[in-house]
Amino acid sequence: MYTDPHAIYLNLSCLDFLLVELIPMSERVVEVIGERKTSNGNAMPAILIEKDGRIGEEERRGAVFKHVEGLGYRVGQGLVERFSQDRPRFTDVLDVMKFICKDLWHLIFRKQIDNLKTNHRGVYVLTDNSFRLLMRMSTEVGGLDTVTRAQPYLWFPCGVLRGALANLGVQATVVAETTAIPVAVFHIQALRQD
Amino acid sequence: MVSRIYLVALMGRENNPLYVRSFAPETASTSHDPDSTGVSSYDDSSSIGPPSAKVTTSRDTELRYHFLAHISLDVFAARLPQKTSDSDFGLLFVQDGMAMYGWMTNTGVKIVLGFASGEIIGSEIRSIFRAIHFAYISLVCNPFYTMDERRPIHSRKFDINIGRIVNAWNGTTPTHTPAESISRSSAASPQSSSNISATSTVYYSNASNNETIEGVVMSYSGSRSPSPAPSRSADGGITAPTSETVLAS
Repeated sequence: MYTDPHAIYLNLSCLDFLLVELIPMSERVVEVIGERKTSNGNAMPAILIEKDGRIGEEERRGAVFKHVEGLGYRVGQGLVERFSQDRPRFTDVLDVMKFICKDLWHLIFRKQIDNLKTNHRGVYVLTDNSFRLLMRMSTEVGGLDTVTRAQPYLWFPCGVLRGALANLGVQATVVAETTAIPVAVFHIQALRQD
Repeated sequence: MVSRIYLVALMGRENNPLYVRSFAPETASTSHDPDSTGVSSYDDSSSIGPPSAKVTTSRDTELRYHFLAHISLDVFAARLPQKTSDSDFGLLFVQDGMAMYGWMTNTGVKIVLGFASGEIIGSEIRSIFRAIHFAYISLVCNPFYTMDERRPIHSRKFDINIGRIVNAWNGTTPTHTPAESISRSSAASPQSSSNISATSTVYYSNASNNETIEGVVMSYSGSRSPSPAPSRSADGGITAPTSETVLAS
């Protein structure tokens, strides 16, 4: 593992707080951009604007996803560039996946992925049974409501995965879902075998 | 004695040129003086490697270096199936007096170094590759840098870092004797690259003290080469009466 002699250490909780605050921040950003667009006139397609002039829920959600996922993508690219430098060369996609599950996941979330499944045809399913970002989440209603509201917090790790894979030569689509709260499942569909 | 670095090139994953930079002494000296580059443009197309008295344009050299960097991509592609463990591709090929060495990162970025051929370069080349790779990592991890695979790198910090690495290498390995550097700087241009290499040697050299001092002395003797000219005229002034006395006697 790479060790920087001039490393500056940071409290791990800072990353947690940052990642939690990322989603509300992104929602505000999208809100502001959307208002600016609608006030300018026809920048936004009419279908997506609801009767009261506000942006549609679906569109807003998509814009937040795009924003957060894009941030994660950039982070994933940078992380891989730095932490893959002293590793032996990756021979296939499975090798890349193992690196992400073991080394990269441990770097960001201090634990490895619990389960990696593949059909050997480009589909990989990564399961984290106690995902760090979802560990302390709960709502008053509980159950399905919590799951729905926790969904946006999986978009950033999605982007990280996609960015990491892209920088290692694997173009992929990443979708995440959660069924019960501390469990996060990432579906990766590799588009091109390298 | 090890040969100098003339070319640093970075190629992206899709074999697109990210960064091609020349460190040949010709371009270093002519870049200060636009008039001299305009005069002799297409004089000698075969002199890439060794520093010749002929002045080649920076654009001409740049084109040839792009060409060399692209040749090396084929060698990378040919050797990749056999390479399983290491990043070091060693000597790729020798062409037009340039020895090209290669390095490929896990993210598919290829680093190519062009040396003035002649001497065999040992394992110390790995440290340069590592340093250049580290400079690239620092660039990528800069949040204000937009990573675009299609665009070449435009970064002042990256330029400085690469210049530092290469000058540290070139500075500690003087390929010219002091006599050569005097004749070169007095013949070509007054503000030649020897002045620049002097400061960089003092600053960035991480080699032993002996070599550093040697490098400084060498380049100072080079940069002070105009000083013999006034002293010679002073000598002339002094010798004139003596010759008269010789004549008289």
